[in-house]
Amino acid sequence: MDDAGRRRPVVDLEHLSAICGGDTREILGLVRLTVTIAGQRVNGARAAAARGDVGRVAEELHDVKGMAANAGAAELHGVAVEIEARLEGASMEAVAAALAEIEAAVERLRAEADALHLRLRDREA
Amino acid sequence: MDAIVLVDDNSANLVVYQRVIDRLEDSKTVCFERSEKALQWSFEHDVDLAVVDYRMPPPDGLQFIREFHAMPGKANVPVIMLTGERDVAVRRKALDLGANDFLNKPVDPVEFLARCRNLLSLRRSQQMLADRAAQLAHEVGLATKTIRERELETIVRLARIAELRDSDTGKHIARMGEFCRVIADRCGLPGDEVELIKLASPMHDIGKIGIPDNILLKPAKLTPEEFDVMRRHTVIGHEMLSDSTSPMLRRAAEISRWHHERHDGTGYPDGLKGEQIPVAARICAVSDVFDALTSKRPYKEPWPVDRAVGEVRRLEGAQFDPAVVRAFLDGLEEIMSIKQILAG
Repeated sequence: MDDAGRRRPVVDLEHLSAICGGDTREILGLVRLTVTIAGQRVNGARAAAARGDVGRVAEELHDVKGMAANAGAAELHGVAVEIEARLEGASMEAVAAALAEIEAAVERLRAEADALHLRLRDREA
Repeated sequence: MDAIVLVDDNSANLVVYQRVIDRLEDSKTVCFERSEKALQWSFEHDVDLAVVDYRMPPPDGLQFIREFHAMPGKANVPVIMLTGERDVAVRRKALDLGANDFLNKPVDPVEFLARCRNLLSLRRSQQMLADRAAQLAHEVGLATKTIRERELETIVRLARIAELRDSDTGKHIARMGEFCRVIADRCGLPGDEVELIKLASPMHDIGKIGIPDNILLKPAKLTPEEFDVMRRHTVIGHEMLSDSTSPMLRRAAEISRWHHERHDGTGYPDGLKGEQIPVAARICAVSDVFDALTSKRPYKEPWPVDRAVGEVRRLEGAQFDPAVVRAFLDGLEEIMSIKQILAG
């Protein structure tokens, strides 16, 4: 996958730290919330795609893009930016492929959240 | 404490904004994922700053700003719009609707905090100015009220001087004010005009100050020449009161000059007829005659109310404006209550 988003770190810890005042537990909470909502939006986009509603797919991914940027989900944001540019006039096959990419980015974010959780637990142990 | 409303249909965004804004001193944030709930809450509470997303299920950010600023007391509350849009048209529309600032996603915590702090500071300055303006308006209002009360007191005392010269009591002028108020109200005049007529009508006979005692106090019927002199009280009163900058005195000047005019044009001093006669004077004419008829005078007993009302009816269309007579009859019950309270 030639994916500009993939070259970024999964999370921008500096940004997250600035938002959460360096509180790791807060950072973890925000990342987990981002994963949850991104998952909901991707599900919404999949349902829209099944109806052939590409406009709605674009809206769901636009929301993921904005949220990911705000919440320091750097890679997810990069993937969303790239996909959004590709969606206009795209075939349903291309839409399905794009959704698979964003879903994979969400899963990497989930894995990062789990890793953060483990680090936090180890530090507190 | 500053109240900040955050509106975004994405709860992760709300968490981000709240984490940043919570660093502001002396403020509380209230978060909404649904903009219509935010509008409802804002309607019921004081808000010092609103931070709103652009893309939301209806009402969207633009509609939110429109409805928010239309709420009582919210027209000047600052609003920051957060958007991923670079679209100039969206920004201009938001500015037209009163958005004070824009921030692009992702928000930079330092910049976001600084913008919020600045707009809250602007809000506090606005409120201080508004409070000061309200205080000044209150003080001016009090001073104006005092001046108005003094003006009124001076005029009432002048009217009483005129009244006391030819009757035992100053109650007539008090009754005149109240009778005229009732009739003017029943005529459907605006509230401020009703009040003006109430305050001005006691001065209807102020020109009697200029009538010599031997005529004003003569216990017998006046000769035609003496009556001509007596009639001059209307013109004297008008000269005393006209050219004032006070609306009340100008209305009193009208009443004073024309309250002896008759609907059929046979009155004095100018022989005006019908609607040529100012309505305040037409009202005063009915009040004055009714009060005179139902009051005791050195030369007569008070007429029973039914007889006095019959006389007013008889003079309808000749001496009195029929519309004013109808208003008088409509308010007769209240007029009789006033007559009882202000008897003497």
